[in-house]
Amino acid sequence: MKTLLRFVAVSAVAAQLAGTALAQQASSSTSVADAARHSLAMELVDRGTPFSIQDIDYMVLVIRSNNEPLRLLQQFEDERADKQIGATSSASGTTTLISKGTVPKILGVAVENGAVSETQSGTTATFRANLGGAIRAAASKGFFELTPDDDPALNVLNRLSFSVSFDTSRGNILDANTLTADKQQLSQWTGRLQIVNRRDVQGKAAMVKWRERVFPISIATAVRTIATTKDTGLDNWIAGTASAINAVLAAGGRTHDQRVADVEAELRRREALFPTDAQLTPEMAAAFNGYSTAAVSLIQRRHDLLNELAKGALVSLEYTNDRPVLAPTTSNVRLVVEAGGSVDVTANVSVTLFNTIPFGANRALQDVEAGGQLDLKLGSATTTGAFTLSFAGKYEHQFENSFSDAGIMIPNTTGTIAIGQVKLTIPIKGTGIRIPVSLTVANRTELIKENVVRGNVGLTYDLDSVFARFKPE
Amino acid sequence: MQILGDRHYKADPGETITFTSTSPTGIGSLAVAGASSTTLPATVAGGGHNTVVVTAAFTDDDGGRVSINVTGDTGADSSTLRQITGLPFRSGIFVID
Repeated sequence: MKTLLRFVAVSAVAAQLAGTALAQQASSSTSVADAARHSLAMELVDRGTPFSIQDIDYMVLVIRSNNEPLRLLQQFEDERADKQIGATSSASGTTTLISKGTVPKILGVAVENGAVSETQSGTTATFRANLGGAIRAAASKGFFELTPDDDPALNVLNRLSFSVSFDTSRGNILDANTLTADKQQLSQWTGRLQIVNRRDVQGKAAMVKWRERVFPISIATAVRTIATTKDTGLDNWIAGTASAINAVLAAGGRTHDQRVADVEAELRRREALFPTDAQLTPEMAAAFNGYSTAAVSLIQRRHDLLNELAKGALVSLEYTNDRPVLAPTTSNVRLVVEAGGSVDVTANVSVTLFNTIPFGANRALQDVEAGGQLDLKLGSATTTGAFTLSFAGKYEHQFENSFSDAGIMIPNTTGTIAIGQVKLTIPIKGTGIRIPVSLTVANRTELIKENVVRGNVGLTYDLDSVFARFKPE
Repeated sequence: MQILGDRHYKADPGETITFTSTSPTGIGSLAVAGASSTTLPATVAGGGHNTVVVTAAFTDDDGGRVSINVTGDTGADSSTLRQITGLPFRSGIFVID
């Protein structure tokens, strides 16, 4: 019960961090149609030009009845369960046993409670950012423009990510379990270099495949046919919708969010009046069918390509600086290799060194580790969400004795630690939030030579999905 | 080239109208009368009614945007194709008279 209460308390911190964007996102992503309507409403409030034939993709993809393209649309970003948002396994309060290969493009926040391989259990808030992505975000570049281009400096920065972890149990006792993000709470920082990333959907190799397989599906030709085909019923519906939305926008005394909500409601009302195929001219109905056929083909090819890219290899090198309160600080260098698809295989090899050889130790080398993890992707992004069931194991050999948080060397703690873990990562559909729940079994911990069985729960939040909804001008 | 309205232009006979994109990686598809393409830049000759459609395909599910620049001999315009959340592509319809 104590752990649960602490977890709930820190979850409130995460909610504050996510702020308005989280609430806004949660209300707008109950379905593809709802998310699209909300997105278009925001655009109409901001763009300064009325609803028109320029919004034809929304009309045919979202409103039209018996809509096969809409049925096929998937939210692949939510499916990606391969992002390492939480702290590495040496941090207090982490559910992570094996480090994964990719990190969010912009910024990730994770709050985790429990401990995997250390005796002390606490709550850790981790912030992880991709340097190139963060710089481009700060420069007001949109998500689509976060692509590798001919700028070699940006290509290098895109491969670099950093994280900082704060242990909220540290610091002023009056602020216990409150994230102050000060030096006292800084428990760990990391830097990661992505050496190989075959899963980057906007990488150079991927772009060749986009051009070869997806772009040739000419939606433009289908749209041009619609735009050059006369249909009074469609024209009247567009004119009526534009007039209704203009009236909503002209109303005074409304905040931006209220205006968006009003336009969204008006769009929903107008959708019910959209002409059926029987009410369109045969030429326009045929043009709509041509569009739908092309759209289905494009969506299917895009889906296949994204699945193929998700099976690509990942190799990264990570440096971690651990900062216990009183125990010696350490540096860990870890090689992470990942490959797979529906079943992901991840391997870690690492070495940990004392930053300064502490009194009583004989060498800088504290331990070496090797571990592996299998991730089975279950469920569906379109229904329950993409659950991930993970099985992980880690072998660690300590060459030097462990230190307690009080900085006291614990004698006779050298030797081998073997850890096994089963973890279920539960997504909250359409929010970017995942809840990892894990059960960990170990022959001992770093401090105590006794068998340990431990349960962990966590909360990870991927701010890529929030940034993706924030479209800077 | 004169700007008559949103994505609506008036071109002189024989004037070359060029469509380019800020996207460093590519565009989805482009259609003019009797022809289609998957890349920009593309050119259209002024003199008569012409409808040009540019469709941007997006690699992610949200947040995509790309600017399309329309340049004539004597004028230019820029227009942004913003991705609608969850929809993998967005089209812009450009009319040249």
